[in-house]
Amino acid sequence: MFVLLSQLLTSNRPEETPVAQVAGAMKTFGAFRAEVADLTARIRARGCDRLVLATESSYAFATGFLAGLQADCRIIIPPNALPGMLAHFVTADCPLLSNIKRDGDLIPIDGATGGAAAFSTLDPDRCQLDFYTSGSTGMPKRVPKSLAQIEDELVVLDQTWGDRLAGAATLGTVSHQHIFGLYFKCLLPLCEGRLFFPQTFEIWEELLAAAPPGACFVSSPAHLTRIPPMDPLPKESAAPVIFTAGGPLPFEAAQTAAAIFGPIPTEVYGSTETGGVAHRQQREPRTPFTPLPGMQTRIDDQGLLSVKSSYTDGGDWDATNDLAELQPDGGFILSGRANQFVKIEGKRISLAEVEKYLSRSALVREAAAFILGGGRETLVAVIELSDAGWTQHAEIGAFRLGRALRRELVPNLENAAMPKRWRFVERLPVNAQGKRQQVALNELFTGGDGAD
Amino acid sequence: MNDFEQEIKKLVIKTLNLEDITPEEIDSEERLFVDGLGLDSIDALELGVAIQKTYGIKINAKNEDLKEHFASVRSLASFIRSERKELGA
Repeated sequence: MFVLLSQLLTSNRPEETPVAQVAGAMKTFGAFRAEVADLTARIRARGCDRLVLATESSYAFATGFLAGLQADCRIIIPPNALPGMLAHFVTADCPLLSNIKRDGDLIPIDGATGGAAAFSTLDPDRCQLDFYTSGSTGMPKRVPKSLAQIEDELVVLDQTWGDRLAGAATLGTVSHQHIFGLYFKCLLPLCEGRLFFPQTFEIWEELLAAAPPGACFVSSPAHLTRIPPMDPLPKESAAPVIFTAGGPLPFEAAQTAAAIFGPIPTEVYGSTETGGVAHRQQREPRTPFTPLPGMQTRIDDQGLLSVKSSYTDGGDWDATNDLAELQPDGGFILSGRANQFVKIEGKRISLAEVEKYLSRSALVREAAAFILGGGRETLVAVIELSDAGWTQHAEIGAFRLGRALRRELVPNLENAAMPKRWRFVERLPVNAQGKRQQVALNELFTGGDGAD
Repeated sequence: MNDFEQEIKKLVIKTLNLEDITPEEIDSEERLFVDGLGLDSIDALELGVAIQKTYGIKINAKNEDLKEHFASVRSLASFIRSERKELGA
């Protein structure tokens, strides 16, 4: 039974409805509502009107999401919970709502149930949230959304997949801090009254060991291209739907996943800005994407796909950064990206941001980060080392120096944004105008004396 | 040096395309992930797949010591050895 988020806490949903599987025990809707009440009371007592919501657990996130809105707060959702990211947003007036530990400016989501709060049905147009994505300048970019937009999209997702998902538990390898994971792994199951697992599984073996029969998987190309050799799931435990997003899934990976888990993975195409746009199951190579109900598509004069629905910004046309070929029926085939963002392992990466954080290291004088094509696309870095950097290089060698630099990036960048291959040089190759010589940079990895 | 550990080191380097490092430079007891060698979660995923393909063993996630088995080359070597013994290989 689908219930809108704005009405969930004031609905007559039965107390025993499953919500999430937390540490081996099931949280019911009754327990969830009690935890939201306690948290709402604590947020109200704090008296803030904005907060940052970043958690490790999708269940903690769901509690914080509804409690924050009940307490009339604008909710800021950063793309990850790394300390460097949170430092952009968290202040005394805009505390962190989280189950992770932090000194000060924190309202802990700890599962307490002592406090009481009266719930009201939310006004979805008044409830405001700010999502953030990687920005081209190296600063996160704000994408505001109203609860009404989020609800409109969840209704569409329920219309499209609700029947097939009926009763299925959900487990994911993706984080709820990104909009795809938030909708498919957390909010859609919550609205539909289906059990979800709050953790982000890193390896398939752990996910499969935890999965009840017939569970839905929410994953990404990073994981679906790395399935270990295993026997197919028995027919009665096969997944009803496997969702994946973030980037194109290779045709062969789609077939491998189907052979083991049951269905061909359902690729959801969309972005934080547009929300979910279209979906496909690759029964054959180049299967076009089919727009979700109510989603209009067109191609602008630069060949870019534009989309429009009740949940795009202001209900207006929203240009994507993807080139596409439109089909007569409104479906489309993606044919590449058009701007300075790159996608690695399905995550949107800003090269400017990677370079910015690399340059902060005492070991680095200047840094160039870019993508090397050919086979799997790889994020690489060429580093002009400082004197301290060369000293380290002599002591620990190039490989460990690269790994040491990755460790320096940990507070600010996700794994996917960490360069995989490194070259250390006396001078970054630039021309007389000081402009970087990309060909020379590439050759450091692909040919010439700098290669392997 | 232990031959099997040497083989695992080669497998790690080859599977993950590690550059500028030789098997001899990896200490059998140093931690593979985070600090130590500094591998990440995608590396873990790929290494798990390669070990299962190469040695025909199954990684059982109900095995609570999985993280410990993957801690170092030495622990990985003894884990693979004992799993293969169970398979009778």
